[in-house]
Amino acid sequence: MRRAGGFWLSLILLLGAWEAYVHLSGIGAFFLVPPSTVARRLGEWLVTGRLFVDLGASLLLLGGGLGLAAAVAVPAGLSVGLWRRLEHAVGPYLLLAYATPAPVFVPLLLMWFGFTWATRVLIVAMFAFLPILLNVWWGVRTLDASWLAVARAFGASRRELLARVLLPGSAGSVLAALRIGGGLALIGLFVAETYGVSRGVGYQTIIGAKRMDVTGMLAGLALLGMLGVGLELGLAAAERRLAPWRPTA
Amino acid sequence: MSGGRDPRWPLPLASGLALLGVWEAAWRLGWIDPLFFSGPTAVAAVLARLVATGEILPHYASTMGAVALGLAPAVAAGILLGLVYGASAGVRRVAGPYVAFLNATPRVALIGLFVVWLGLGLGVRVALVAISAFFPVFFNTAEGVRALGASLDRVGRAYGCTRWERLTRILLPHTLPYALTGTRLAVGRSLVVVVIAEIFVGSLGGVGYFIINAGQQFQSAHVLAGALLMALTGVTLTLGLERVEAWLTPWHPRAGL
Repeated sequence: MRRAGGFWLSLILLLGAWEAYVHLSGIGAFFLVPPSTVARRLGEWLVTGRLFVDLGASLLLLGGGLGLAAAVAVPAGLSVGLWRRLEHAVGPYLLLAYATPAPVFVPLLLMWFGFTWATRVLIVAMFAFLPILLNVWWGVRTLDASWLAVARAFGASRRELLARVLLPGSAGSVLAALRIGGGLALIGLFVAETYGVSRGVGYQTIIGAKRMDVTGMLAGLALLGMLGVGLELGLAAAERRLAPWRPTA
Repeated sequence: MSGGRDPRWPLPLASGLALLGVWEAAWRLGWIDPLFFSGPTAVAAVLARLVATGEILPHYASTMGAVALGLAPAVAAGILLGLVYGASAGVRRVAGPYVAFLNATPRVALIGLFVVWLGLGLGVRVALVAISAFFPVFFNTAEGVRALGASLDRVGRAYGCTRWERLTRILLPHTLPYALTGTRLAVGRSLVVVVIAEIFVGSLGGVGYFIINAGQQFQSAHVLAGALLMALTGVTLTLGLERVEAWLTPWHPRAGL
């Protein structure tokens, strides 16, 4: 509680300093606007319902992309982590692919699927896919070998080993991987909402940039940040609930 | 490990060659529409030609220049502030929520603000690279300081080390591998955001611009050649930095592979 109090105090000081700076320095609204102007814009969006349209569209896109990425990457990462032969066959290529900057494939997706919702979901999924896969894989690899030894000593079958030790043991790293993937999916969301959309929090930031409207940009950024923090907090809470033995960072 | 030759190489080599072989065969047999995709040899040939004629070199120089200019201050600031953040619980308490907010916000979204503040020049990409590269270095360095814990520091005290000795002989060597790992992650992040900036603001030039431009003209082989160039860059830098890490901090345990 004391922590939270200090945070709110510093936030008020920071916003106050920003507000005062804009008023006292006489900086043009073209370059920077005070937080009160940004708050007013957010208020307008809230009253007109625009806020919910944008948040809804972005959440749908984020959920679709992250869901798609997780649905493929989690089983794939578990398989690569658990099956040594597969790991040897594809592991080096996964690392190579991971070192490749994902946005270079955005033009290809646009060429293949056009300015459609499917393209945007795939863009979001593409940013999150490999980070999730690799983090699940590494998480499985770091499972304590002594757990396996104990289970084997107690005569666990392969199936029991998988269902009772390996999968529950991996739950924590899967959730940690989703958190990392979630952050990258947000970058993907911003990139995806550049193309042929008219709603979404990334879109608001982008249209603000195109119109040189700093207020709109900052309001969009604030929403993107809230979306990011919400995603992070939600997944962190899930991690604590599903894998309470893991130390949370 | 289990006697004789390293068994890890034949299998990945075989799987990679098989994949390339199938892809090339599909291309030769005309199963791939050149408007939408291309074959491995065709892409390699296009990239070789783009490099030989020098067509892609100004773009590449522009991209890598922005990465270098943004990365250097980001790494320096990330290490310094990471040391402070990791060492001081007070700083963590006050700055923690902001760091978390900034870290959770996709920094690429700042691109519009940077365009307004810095104009349509190199500055936008440099700023975006700098802010994106900062966080991995910062977090890893801070994590390194915190992982040191109190015990080693206490050992140092018990042996009568001065503050300066504890800093240079215990804290810095201990934190170095973390900072280097952060730097390696930051390089990967930089390559991602620089390409996004170039795709997003077309007039910036660079490999990202080259790729999106080729995509709009449905020159698939050119898109893939540009992607291959960035992939090779990413792989080379990542592997190179891993070697540097292993060489500078041989005492630090590393995950296999």
